[in-house]
Amino acid sequence: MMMRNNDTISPYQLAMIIIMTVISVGVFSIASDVAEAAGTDAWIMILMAGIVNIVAAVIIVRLNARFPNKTFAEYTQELIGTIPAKLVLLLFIGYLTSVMAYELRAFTEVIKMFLLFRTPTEIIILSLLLVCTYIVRGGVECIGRINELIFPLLFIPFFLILLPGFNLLHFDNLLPLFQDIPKKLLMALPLTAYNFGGIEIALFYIGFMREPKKAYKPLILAISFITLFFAMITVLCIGAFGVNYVPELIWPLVNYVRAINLPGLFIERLDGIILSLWIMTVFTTLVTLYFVVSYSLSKVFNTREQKQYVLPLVVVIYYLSLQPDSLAQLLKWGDLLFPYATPFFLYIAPLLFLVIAILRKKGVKGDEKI
Amino acid sequence: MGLFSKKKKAEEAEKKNKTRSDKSLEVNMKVIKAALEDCDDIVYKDFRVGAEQKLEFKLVYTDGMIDKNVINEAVLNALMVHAREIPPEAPRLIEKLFELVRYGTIPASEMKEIENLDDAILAILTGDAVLFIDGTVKIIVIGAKGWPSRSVSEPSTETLVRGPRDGFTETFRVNTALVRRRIRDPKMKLKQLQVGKRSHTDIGIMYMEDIAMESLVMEVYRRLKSIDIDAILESGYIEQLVEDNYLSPFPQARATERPDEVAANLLEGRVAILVDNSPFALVVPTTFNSLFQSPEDYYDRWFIATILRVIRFTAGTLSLLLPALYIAVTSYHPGILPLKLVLSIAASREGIPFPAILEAFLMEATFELLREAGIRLPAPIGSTIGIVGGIVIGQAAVEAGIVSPIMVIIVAITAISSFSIPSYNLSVGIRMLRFILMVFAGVLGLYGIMLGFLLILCHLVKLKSFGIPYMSPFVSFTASDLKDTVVRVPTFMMKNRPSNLARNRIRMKNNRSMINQIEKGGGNDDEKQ
Amino acid sequence: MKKSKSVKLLMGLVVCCTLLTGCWDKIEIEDRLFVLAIGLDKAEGTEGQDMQNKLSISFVSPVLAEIKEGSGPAYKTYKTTASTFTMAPSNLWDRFAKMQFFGHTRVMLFGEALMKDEKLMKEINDAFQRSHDIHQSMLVFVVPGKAEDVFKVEPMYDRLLATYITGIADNSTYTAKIMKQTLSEFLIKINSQKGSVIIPGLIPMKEEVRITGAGVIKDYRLAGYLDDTEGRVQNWLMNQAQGGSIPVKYEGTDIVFRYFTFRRKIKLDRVEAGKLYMTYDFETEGAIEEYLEGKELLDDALLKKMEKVIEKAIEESSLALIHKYQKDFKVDLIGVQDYLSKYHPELYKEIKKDYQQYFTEKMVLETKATVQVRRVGLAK
Repeated sequence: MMMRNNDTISPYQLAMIIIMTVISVGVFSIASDVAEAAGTDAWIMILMAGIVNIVAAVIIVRLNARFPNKTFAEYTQELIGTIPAKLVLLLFIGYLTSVMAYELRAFTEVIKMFLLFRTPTEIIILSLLLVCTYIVRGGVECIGRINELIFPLLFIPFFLILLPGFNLLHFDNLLPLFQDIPKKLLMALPLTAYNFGGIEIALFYIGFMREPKKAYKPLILAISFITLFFAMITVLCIGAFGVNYVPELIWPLVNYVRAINLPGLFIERLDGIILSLWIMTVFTTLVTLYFVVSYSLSKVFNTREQKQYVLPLVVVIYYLSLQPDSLAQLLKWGDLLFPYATPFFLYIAPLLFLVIAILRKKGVKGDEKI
Repeated sequence: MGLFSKKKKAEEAEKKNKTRSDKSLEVNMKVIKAALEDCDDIVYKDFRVGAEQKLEFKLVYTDGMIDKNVINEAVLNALMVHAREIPPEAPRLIEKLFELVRYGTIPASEMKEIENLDDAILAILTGDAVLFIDGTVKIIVIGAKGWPSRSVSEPSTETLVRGPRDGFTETFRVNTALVRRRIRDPKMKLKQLQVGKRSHTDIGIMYMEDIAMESLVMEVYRRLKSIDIDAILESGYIEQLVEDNYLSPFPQARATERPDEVAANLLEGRVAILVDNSPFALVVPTTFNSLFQSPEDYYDRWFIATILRVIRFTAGTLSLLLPALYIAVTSYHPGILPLKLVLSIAASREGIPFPAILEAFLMEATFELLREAGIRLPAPIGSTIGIVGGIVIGQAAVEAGIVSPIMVIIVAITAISSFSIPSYNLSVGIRMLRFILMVFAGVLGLYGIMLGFLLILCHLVKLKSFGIPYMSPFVSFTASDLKDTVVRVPTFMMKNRPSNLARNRIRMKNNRSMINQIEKGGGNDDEKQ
Repeated sequence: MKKSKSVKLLMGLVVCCTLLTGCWDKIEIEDRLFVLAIGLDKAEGTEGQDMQNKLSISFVSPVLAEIKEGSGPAYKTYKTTASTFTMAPSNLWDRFAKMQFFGHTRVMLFGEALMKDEKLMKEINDAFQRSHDIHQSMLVFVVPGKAEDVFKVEPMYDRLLATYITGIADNSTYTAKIMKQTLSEFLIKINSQKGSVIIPGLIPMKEEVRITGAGVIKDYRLAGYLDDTEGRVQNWLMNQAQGGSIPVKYEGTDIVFRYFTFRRKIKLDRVEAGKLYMTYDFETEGAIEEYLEGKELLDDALLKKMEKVIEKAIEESSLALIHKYQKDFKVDLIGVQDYLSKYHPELYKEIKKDYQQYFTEKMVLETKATVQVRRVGLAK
């Protein structure tokens, strides 16, 4: 049908896709959210959440491994019948579309706050969306490659920028440790865990791999990387600002970078740079989600190509992202969406389908060794 | 066994459509003369051979395209003088006469026989001498090509400090020889074909049979075969006719004047396309990475090469982004720069009548103008005018208060940077993108630059050159391929050929251990003594 | 094929539209008014509740044309009154052709009167915390008197007042009596210490300014000042001293101990009868490079004796400041609370509620110094 090589991704690309999807708008705010819930133990909570998500990822790969070369959109039809599967898929599409709209809007708010104060929101949203459509139309292979390419372009400078801030750190700000762990596990862990939302798209991308069994390693590595990255950011923010001040900030990481002073170099302030880098993280997140949405739509309507849905989706996402009146409302809507939808698609749905697959003996059983 | 054996049948079928030659010399000449009517550079030389002067011969060639020495020595002298000794019964055995002439009499090194007149005409126009013999359908083509040509000289667009000084010329055969001299391996194949309905330009596909992917070679052949054009005047025609994406500002084939570079690329599994009348060979597939490489990288020691690579990649980035960054920083985000720099930029810009974006456009455009004028002008004036113009315009513009001195510095840095990219085509592409990025920066500041940058990345990621991702090895990640990117590791570590190009991946064996062993061995010898 | 064309057309259209109407945020660099220093004062006038413009704000901006050529100060100061801090720039828009830009502000000065107004302080702090154009790496100082008086100073050697002040503040590396605090640190501390913080002091003189001592803010209100030496001790107590010199008298001779490292540790010794016994441990090393001619300084016993004297000086002066905090200011700005909450969270939980009472009444704080003289200069 299509050109050879145009519909597969490598295990390494899968890892990059997951990393670049999960790390998105949230990097700026995660320290604040988690510190509010867990205090100085924030980074421990993040590590715990990482472990939880690795378990979730293993479930996802198990499910996918039963259906080699099939994505979530395809094998659910086999599992629960065409109509119910399409309904689930539509739910998924709705969820991902709203996530995209949310991310875009949150992104725009940050850009308007720090870089462009008077530029219309519409322009910022549309310009980014259109760049996204350009790559999404290229198919899954291009998605894999762009994530692969942006990963070093993003993280090498990112770490380099965070480095000069180390003299802001007071590591005793991280004390005391291990306070009320059981209580925090109950209260803070769920909150932390959904910051990892985005792993669920592995349900789709594993289907594009030649051998889904090879997905365990990249997925676990990716989640470990994300966990360590989030933990590092939280440690940096709490180390620099103390556990009392961090929850007061909306985007503590931006404050952290803004506090860095680099005298005697070409660049004095780094916030402009980190914001530009951060555009890339948002871009990759949007692109990966965008592809899943347009791909799922093509499966719902049984069309061969996903390309034709890309441009119409611009209108939908654009419209949705303009709906919240303010940042406050946006955050409120986010609080309504994420705590319910993310756990459902990330934990409950894969587990449910795995159980169904095992009970109905669908798919390849194979050797279920990790 | 050869890759192209399948294709041979088709070629044979094609032959049948051509005009067959006749036994009679007169008939043949009529056809030839009709075809070459009003071509006054064609020479028809008739002569008779044999003791009785009854054997009629006709030698046809294009004046100026043959080597007169060869014709005189090998053909006329041999036939007219020595052939007198041909026995008188020969005319009756006309076939025998042909054999005699074909294999015995003419001491020319390159000869072949054909039986149709279309090929004969083509041979005449290619610069071969064609010998017609009365009474046989067979026509002898004598390779006597010889025309005034440039001798092998140092390539002017790709000069090196360390490395061979020979470069391709306009003569196809010289070029193939230059490559063949570097790879004396029967596995190095040269498949020739002629493209262009009127020009009949010789084109050679060079590849290593056991390294290059078969699919790649076939794909190159297919694309070349599909070209249907009146004339190919330069390899640039071929490049544009076979490239994957005609809208891309990035070159998808590498044009090079250097035989050593072609040889190196063949050994990595790439395919070279040599075109007659062009000193530029094309190497496909080309990746973004390979355009930043220079053959010198492999001749110099590895850390020198690595430093040069880093400089080149930095230069590429600067050349792409610097004016855009200047616009974004001065018009949108002055907070990024340190206080003193900001104040001096602001002070130098005070009184400049144009906004930063216009200022940048003005200067960059002026520079492009100067550069173009410098190329067009005759060499002795060109460089002077370029330099003087640059200084005069730069300095005068600053003193007149039209542009700020900082802007002149920026233009100078971008100019220098763009010239340190080894591939001329790539640097032109980057220069073009620079202007687009400047517009983005002028409208949306840093955000605009990021958008433009992402757009370029997306484009690069989508781009493929003959089925190979343009951004490999940065994408389709294989760790061993990264050894020859921004960093060029020591030669003994580059054991493998590029994974997505080569079938036969082992390039060399690590001899480090041998070297260390000899050192130790030497020590032992001393002890023995 | 058709579709990709339409995409390109659409993209082209959008780009064109952006171009035609674009450049919303563009302000050319020379059209910006770089604010290098801000002085905040409480506006003079009647103490009426509804006074409209309660803030008097002065700014220092460079004159671009003066920067390269000319001599003398390359800056100008100007003043405005406003109801809140954010109103100030907009009040200036009808007076200036240039746009104020705060990205490079280096110094922020608070007048004394302002710091004594609790409500005003809260308002201003919040404005700074939220503001996206105020850069938090600027230095903050309190000025006894009016902040705007500082801007009348014409420094002798420097042509920009703001870089002159930051230059002095950078000397904190060499002497502990200079305090240096960025707005970001100030905000973090005032926020997490519930309105109590130390702020370095700055005094205008004729042709120069002095960074000296500090202001003690308690419950968002200036409660008093620390003088030069107390400022130094404050740095010791907070483990912020990077170097400096301590003059002492040894047997009638003035000697100076120059130290390059100074470490402080707090230890909770014991909890007895509801009282907390704690010790400040100081550790410092440095050199004595001055004594009497003819006397040998390179003598272990002598140096030990001198060390004892220096130790005593450190212990006494720091204990004095601790008592001042406990008795006079009644606020803990010397890191005890911080220490307890981090290293003794269980204990801290118990006393958290009425911590102030604990600090003033039920804490016995001791000091103990360990001085090591490593070098004595070039002569014996």
